[in-house]
Amino acid sequence: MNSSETQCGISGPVREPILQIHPSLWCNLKCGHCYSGSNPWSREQLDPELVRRAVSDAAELGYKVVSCSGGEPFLYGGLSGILRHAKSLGMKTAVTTNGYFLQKERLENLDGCVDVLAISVDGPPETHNQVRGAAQAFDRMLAGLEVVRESGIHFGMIHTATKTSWEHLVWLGEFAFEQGARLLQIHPLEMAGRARTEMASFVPDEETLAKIFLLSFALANKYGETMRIQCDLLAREHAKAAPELLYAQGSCADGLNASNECNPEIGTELESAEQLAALLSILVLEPDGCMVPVSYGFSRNYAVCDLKSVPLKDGWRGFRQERYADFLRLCRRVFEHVTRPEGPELFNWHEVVVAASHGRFPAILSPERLNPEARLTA
Amino acid sequence: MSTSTPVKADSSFEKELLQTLQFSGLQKESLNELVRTVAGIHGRGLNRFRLFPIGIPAVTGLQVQTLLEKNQLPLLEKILLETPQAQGIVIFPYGIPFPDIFQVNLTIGPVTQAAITPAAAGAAAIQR
Repeated sequence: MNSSETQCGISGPVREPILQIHPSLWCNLKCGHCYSGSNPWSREQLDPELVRRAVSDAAELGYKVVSCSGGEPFLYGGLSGILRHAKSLGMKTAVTTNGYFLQKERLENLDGCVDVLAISVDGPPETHNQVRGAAQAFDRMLAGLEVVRESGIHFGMIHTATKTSWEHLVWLGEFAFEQGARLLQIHPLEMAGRARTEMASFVPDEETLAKIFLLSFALANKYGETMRIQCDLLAREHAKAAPELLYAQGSCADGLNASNECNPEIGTELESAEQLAALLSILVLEPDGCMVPVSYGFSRNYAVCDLKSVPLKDGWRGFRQERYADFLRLCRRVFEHVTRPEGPELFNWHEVVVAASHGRFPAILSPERLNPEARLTA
Repeated sequence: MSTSTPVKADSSFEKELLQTLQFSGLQKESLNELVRTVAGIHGRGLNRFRLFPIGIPAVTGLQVQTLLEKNQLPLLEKILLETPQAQGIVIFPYGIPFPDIFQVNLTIGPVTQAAITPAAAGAAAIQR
C-alpha cells in the first residue's frame, strides 16, 4: 500500500517532484537505524548559499517540493533561509526532525515557511529512547509536539518499522491520531548506514514485512479520513501494474526503445525547463554537495552532478546525456527482479534500487532466490 | 499525556488483527496469501475495507467488510471474477438514512493452512 501515484508525464514514485536536502550529518542523537550515519561529531555542512541556488535551479527544472532532513535539520543554521527561499519560489516545504528542538522560538523563526513537519517516532517511550540512545528522547519529542500544535504547523510522524517494532503499530496509530498528526509514514528499516552495524538483526524479513503491510492497511482503514497512512512497501502485483512508479515503463520518451534497450541519444534534444523533474521525480542533495537520484546513498555512478563543481541548472544536462540511460537500465533490471513470480510479495523499492546501484542485493532479494545469470550490476 | 501511560487499548478490529498476527502461528505462505488478497482487492479499486481473519488459532480464511455507494457496486463484479478464493458474498442496504450505501461482506478462503506452532497453541490456551 504505497501511497505513490503518478501524474501525467512524471516518472517515479511520488506525486509531486521533490528535492530532498541533507545539508549536514550533524545530529544531537546517534540512532541505531540512521541510514545516513548522522552523529553529534559531524560538522561538515553545505554552504546555505549553494543550497539556495540549488533550490532555485530545482524550481526552474520543475520540482515542487523541498524536504530538509539531515542530520538534524534544526542544527543547521541555514534552515530557515532555505525554507523561506523555497516558499518564495512557490514550493511546498517539509522538515524531518527528531523532535528535540521544537521550542517556541525555533518554530517562530520558521513561521510561514514550513508546510509540514515530519517527526520520527520509534515506538512507545522505552523503545523510542532505546533506539535513540537517549533517556529523554521521547519526553523531549512529546513536549515538542505540544509546541507544534500550538504553532498551527501541520505535522506527521515517521516510524522506522523493525523486526520487533511492528507489534507497536497499533499503538503508534493511536498515538499519532491522538496527537493530531496528519500523516503516519511507516518505513521498513533498511540495511543502510548505521543499521548495518547496530541493527542488522532488526531488519524486517518477508514475514515481518507482510505483517507491517497488513497492519498498515488496517490503520489506513481506521484513520484514513483524518490521518493519511503511508507504508513504504510496494506489492509485487502493484509494481507490475504500474512500472512507471519504478522508472520501468519502457517507453521511448524515457530513454528506452521498443525493445526496452536504452537509447543513448535520447535527451540530447530535450533541454527545456522542467525536463529533469518529469524524468526524475526525486532528487537528493547529499551533505558533500553531490546530487543523486531517488534516495540518499545512491551510487555516485548515477550522480546528477556535484554542486561544488557545477550548478544544477547546467549539471543536469550531463546526467541526461551520459547517465540517465544507465539509470533507466538499472531500474528496468530491478523491476524485472522484483516482479518475478519467485520474488518477494512486498518490497521497499528505494532500498532495493539503492542497493542495486551498488551492485548489492538486500536480503529480501538474496541471490539464491534469483536466477544467478540475472545478477544486478551497477 | 504521560509518557508512562501510553494510549489505552480499546477493542477494535486492528487489535484483533495484531493478535492474530502475533499469536496465530501464521506462516510465510499464509501471510503472503493475505498480502496478495489485500493488495489485489485494493488494486481493483476498493480502498477502504476491514479485514477479519477467520479461524482460531489457525487462520483458514478472511472476511472482507466494506461499505460501497451505489455507483461502486460494479467493483464487486471485478473483485469476484478476479479473486479465485472468493467463497461468498452478502450485500445489504445500509438502510435509512443511507439508502444508496450498501454493506458488503465478502468471504475469502481457504488461506493456506497454517501450522499450529507451540506459541499459537499457548495463545489459544490463554484465550480459553
